[in-house]
Amino acid sequence: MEQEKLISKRDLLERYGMSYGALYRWKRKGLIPEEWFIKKATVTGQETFFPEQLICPRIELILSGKNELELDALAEKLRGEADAEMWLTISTVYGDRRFKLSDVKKITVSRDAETVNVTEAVTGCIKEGKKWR
Amino acid sequence: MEVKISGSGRIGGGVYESVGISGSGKISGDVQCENFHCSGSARCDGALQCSDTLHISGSLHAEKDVSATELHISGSLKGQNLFIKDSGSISGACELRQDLKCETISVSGSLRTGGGIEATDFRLSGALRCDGLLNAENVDIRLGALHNEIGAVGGSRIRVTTAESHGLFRRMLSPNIGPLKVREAIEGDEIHLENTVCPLVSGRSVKIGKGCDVGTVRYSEELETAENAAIGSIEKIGL
Repeated sequence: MEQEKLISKRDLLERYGMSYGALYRWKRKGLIPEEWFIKKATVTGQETFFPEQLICPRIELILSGKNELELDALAEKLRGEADAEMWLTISTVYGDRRFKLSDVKKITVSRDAETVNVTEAVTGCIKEGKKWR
Repeated sequence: MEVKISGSGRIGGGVYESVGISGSGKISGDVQCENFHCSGSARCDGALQCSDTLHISGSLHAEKDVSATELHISGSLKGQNLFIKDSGSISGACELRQDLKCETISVSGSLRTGGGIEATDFRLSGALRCDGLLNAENVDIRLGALHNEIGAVGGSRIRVTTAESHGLFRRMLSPNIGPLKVREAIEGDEIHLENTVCPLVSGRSVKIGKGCDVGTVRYSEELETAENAAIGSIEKIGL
């Protein structure tokens, strides 16, 4: 699996001159989705990272409109977008993993050296304008 | 429609203006109402949604989510998720299988959640067990029980003290008060801790008080440490 570029929470706060209070406040408001908080084990213990290409534009967007009303309006808009989003969920014996359909680049099934690209087969049933069954 | 149970009775799920139980009531199904008042015990096998006030003097046991604009519990509340639009006060015990989301909450007694807690103002005096993240602007925890555990704490002003520090109990008469054990980290702007065990504390202005056992402290502006606080390492960071 391709490794997306991650930025640590600490580096993020330093880069934008943000406080922990602000980060947690924005999380409560729904401006930063739970899925973006990625926990990894490091030498210092558990640290939190974010997908850099997602979090940085979001922080810049939040900082560009700093008053309360604007942030609430932004949260409402993002909620609306999230609700309209389609999700691919894979249920396994180890639990469920959920992905935004718009984030899915390729889906393949393989055995030994043989790989079949099933992306179109899985996502093709969902076409623009076609209703859910 | 107003529904009242006096003694013992059953209500079906539905939409009501107000529901009043004086005695013992069983509710089958989901209930939506403006006000819910129970003096005694109520069991609901569905969800309970109050557009205004939920008032319990006794016990409420709900199988699904409980939500209200304002909530007052004197006794016990059990449910799946608890959503409070404005303010809540709990004097007694609250046990949730999942999350607590509210604006302001004040707990005197014990709070247990299987999930996380989100609030603007979170105040608790007693016992706290939260499996997830306590995310609140202002956190004020006064420990008053033996077992207190939490996944992580994040917010702006975070304060953990013991009931003893507030002069509420004299040392000899005080009940056994255990530390607050934090599994992951405490992150905030102004942090003041006593009797807290935590692998990582990060903040702008940090005070590690008596009885603390912290793995790593990261601070950007101020750090104050008590003599008997155990601290593994200290890092000054540039936030």
